[in-house]
Amino acid sequence: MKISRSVERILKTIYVILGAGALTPIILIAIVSVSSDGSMLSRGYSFLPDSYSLDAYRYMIDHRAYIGHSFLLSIILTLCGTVLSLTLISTMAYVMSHRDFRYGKLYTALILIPMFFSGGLAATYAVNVQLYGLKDTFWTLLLPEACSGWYILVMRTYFRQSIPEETVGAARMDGASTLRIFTDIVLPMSKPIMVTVGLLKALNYWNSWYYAMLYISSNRKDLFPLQYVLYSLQKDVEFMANADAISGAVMADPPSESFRMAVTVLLILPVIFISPLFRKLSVRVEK
Amino acid sequence: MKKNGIIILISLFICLMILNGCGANPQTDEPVNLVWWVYGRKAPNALDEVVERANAISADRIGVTVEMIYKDEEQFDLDMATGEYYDMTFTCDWCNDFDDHARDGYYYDLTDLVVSETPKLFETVDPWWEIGSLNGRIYGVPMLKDLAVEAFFRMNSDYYEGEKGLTLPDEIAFSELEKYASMWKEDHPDEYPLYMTQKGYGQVFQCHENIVGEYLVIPYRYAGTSEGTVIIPIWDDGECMDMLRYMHKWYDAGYINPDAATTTDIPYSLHTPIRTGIAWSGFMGWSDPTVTGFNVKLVRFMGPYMSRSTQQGSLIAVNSAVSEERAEASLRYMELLYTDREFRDLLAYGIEGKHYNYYENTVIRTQAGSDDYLVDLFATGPVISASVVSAGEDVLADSDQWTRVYEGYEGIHVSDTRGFSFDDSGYETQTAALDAIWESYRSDLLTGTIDPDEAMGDMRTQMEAVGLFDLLSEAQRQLDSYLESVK
Amino acid sequence: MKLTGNTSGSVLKSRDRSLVAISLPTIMWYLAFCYLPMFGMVIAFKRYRMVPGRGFIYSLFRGSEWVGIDNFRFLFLNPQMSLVIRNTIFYNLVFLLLDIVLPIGLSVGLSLISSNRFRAVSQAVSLLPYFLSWVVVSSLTYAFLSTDRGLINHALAHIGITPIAWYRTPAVWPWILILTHLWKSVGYFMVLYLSYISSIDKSLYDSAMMDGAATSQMIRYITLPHLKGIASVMVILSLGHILSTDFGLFYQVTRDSGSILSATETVDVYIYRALINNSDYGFSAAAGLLQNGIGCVLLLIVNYILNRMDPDNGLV
Repeated sequence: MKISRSVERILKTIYVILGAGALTPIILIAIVSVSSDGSMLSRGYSFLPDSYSLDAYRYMIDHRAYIGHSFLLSIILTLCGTVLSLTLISTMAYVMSHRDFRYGKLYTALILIPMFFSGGLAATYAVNVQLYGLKDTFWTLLLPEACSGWYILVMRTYFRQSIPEETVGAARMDGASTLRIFTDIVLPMSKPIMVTVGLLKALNYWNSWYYAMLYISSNRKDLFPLQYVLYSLQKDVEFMANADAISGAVMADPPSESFRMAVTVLLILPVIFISPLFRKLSVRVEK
Repeated sequence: MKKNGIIILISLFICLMILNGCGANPQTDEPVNLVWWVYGRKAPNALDEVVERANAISADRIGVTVEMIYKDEEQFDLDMATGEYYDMTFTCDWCNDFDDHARDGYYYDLTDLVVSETPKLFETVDPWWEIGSLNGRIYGVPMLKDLAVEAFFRMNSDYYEGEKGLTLPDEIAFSELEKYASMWKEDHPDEYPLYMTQKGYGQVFQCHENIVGEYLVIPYRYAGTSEGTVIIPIWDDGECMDMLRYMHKWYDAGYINPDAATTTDIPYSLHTPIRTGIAWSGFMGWSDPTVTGFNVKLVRFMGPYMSRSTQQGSLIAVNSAVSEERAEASLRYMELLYTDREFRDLLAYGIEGKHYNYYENTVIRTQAGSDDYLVDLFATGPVISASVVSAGEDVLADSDQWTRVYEGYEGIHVSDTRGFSFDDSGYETQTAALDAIWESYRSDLLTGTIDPDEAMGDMRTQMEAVGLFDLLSEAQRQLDSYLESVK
Repeated sequence: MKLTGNTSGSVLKSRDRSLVAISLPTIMWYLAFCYLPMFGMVIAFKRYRMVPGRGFIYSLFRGSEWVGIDNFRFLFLNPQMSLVIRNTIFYNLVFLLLDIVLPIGLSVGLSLISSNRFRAVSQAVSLLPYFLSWVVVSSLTYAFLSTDRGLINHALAHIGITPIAWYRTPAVWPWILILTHLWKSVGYFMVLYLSYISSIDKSLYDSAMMDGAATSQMIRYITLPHLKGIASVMVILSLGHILSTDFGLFYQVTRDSGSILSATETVDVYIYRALINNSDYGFSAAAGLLQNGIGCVLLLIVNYILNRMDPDNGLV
């Protein structure tokens, strides 16, 4: 598809403006992370703080054992999680993409029902802790969110639309096994969706804190993913505002805004790795 | 086949996890190891180190060790509901509700055991056992601390006394705060002397005993009169309404930050000249100029008032499912906390010489102590049996302050409800709906953001529709029959 | 019963057997993490009491009494409930519409741009806001909207307009919430749609070009039909969640401000407020069951209608 240069220019302008809109608040976060506390107190969030300070990052370096460990844990978790969920999601989606699959309706029901009904917090917690023994383990961060009905549907729809039935049929005639067809024919033809779902699922893992909050005790800092460290800092702020008025409770300043934003910056960093991924993705499709 | 391998692996994995779930029992000839749930947002960094040292002492002295597990409110609810194992647990009026859980039979009946097994503990807590009793049985050991509610303004004395040459009184009326706030506002027109978060001046809602939620109350000032046992809706408490009206006036005057109702934190580096808090006379914990940036003087504006809920600030209860042997061990541990100051200080402040030092019979925390072992004093045991904290060598606390605090409790306003607590079973639906209505006004009221008369009017209409007055008469009926029974 | 299947039948049968084998790990995951805990749903019909020394399952089934539909009643006692439901449905419908129209439009437009680098960077940048947790987003919106220190009021002051107390002005909040939602999620859906667009067979466009089709026609007849499948999956699922909202957006971003509740209170926020002092698991389970039960019925109806229109669109 070709469009004229002027139209392309207009389109580009639109995307640049929208991109700036998406980016501005994030630049603000970066600026806050290098603003001095004094400036934060007098002016609040500002694109042009009175004075700058690297205290937040210095503090981070001082606590590199803790922050660095969490960062590393998040990376490992994201890698393992992405591989695991892609395996679970793509196999299921492939199976469900067969319109004449005998248990097709049953499978659809199987993945749809949990999207609406769950056993609730208490039952899930009891099963995970008392039956599977997941409390305070790495598995608790990995397993409960490994699969997702939504992404199975996204991928199933893609397989149905984009994999020609003739190709699969021909391979089957040649005597290829079902698994073979999946690994050798379907997967190579589905790179865009694999990369996209893999990426979004990786983001899920990178951003997850909920399971850490529920299943990791507060004295197991070695199992805190980075996003949970941030969540925990925010909780500290809330908690200290409460405790401030109670005698016998401890008196200390909450973690500073700039430190919280510095952790946020650390969390956004991996996007640097994403951009080239998109480039590779679109190059491959062009061919 | 690759796939089969994966399947086998996963099945193995699930089996392993199931096996994992069944823990082994501790051996009997070892010291009894108790699982102890402690209140706290997070465990301090030096927890393992401190507990290890404490365990060495307690194993030697009473044959008991503990595993302390820190939990916040949500975690308490969840672990309690799902029946997670514990021996001793923190419980109180506002977290892991003592009365509800004792009523439901969650806690061990310690009535006889505490007398026979740990007479010294019984003696020390006497005459305050009523706090941990329900229907005449003891279900929890009170961790004694301040038992009455006293609300203070924490005022910048460097400014008011030093710069302005005033003498801050020990006690003022709530309305008199206006004078101090306007003084600061004149000198610092861009600042808010009464800067506050969305929790606001929560103490305002403690000028009465809360019977149901925070909206059905009995004012303390009626104690001893015929109205002392009459439950009223909060908008009929004139004293409380007056305080709210003042706050709204101050909000309009610009003494309170305009976004108070949505503000989440109030750092000490903000140098707010006036804060509030609940403490006791002689408390020095807020007077640390290295944190606040100035010296602080406490000025009381409310209380002391005493009722069941103010007394139930901290208790330790024992799981009703444990063996008698473990219940005894728990009691022995609590006895040790009450009777051995050095041991108590270890859990309260960490390791001497590292996390704190003694100075003039009080405790002064070191930097390492503030960084690695800063825990709530009431969470790890009785406050009165720990040494008193001084903020620094220049800000010394009275090492014998507890004797004076308890002496001060003689002759104060004590609620006439005599330990009554409302049993809401069968009324959870109404209280949930009422709580939702209440919550939507709470922050705005406590920060002076809205006109209390208007807001209470709206709230009243909504609450009546939900059946507030049915609930009120039920609460009154329960209270009357309770008072009849304890006569 | 067929005793002798024809060749294709038996091939199908053996194929289905392998398909079941391939899906086994996922099925096991579903059984372990979704279906096994589902017994917990009965808590919605029980007054839950823990039995000391017993696990959750014993307490639930043996220790707790049945209370019928008592746990559902707190939802209907709220005098504001009709307003709350109206808010919930309003926001969900607006989000549903915008989440389809905007990302599709933007991704189709982006696919027209020839520069690889431009497309890649645009996608990465648009995905950035998705990285931020709601608490951070809440700090950001506060930075713009704060009455005395907010960037917007500063700007207004410059041009001589008196500051506005945003957190006390209900009328602006539908706009703020919609904008915040879009800002955070458009990039996410764009990436999803772009992956669908990039799977379109290029030869389709080539032959259309040979036939002299204009770009707008190619978009209309090739690109958009290709997105119909995934878009209808989205519509159906969103309608199924019509009574649930993103708690982070409606609670954290509004900073729990009471003065704007008339415009911002949704079902989930109400439930949170009602149970804030009393984490009654029976009540929250009942609320969830009702929200999703209604959503599920709606889903089945919409699915049926879409299926009638075009069998390819349906979900089931």
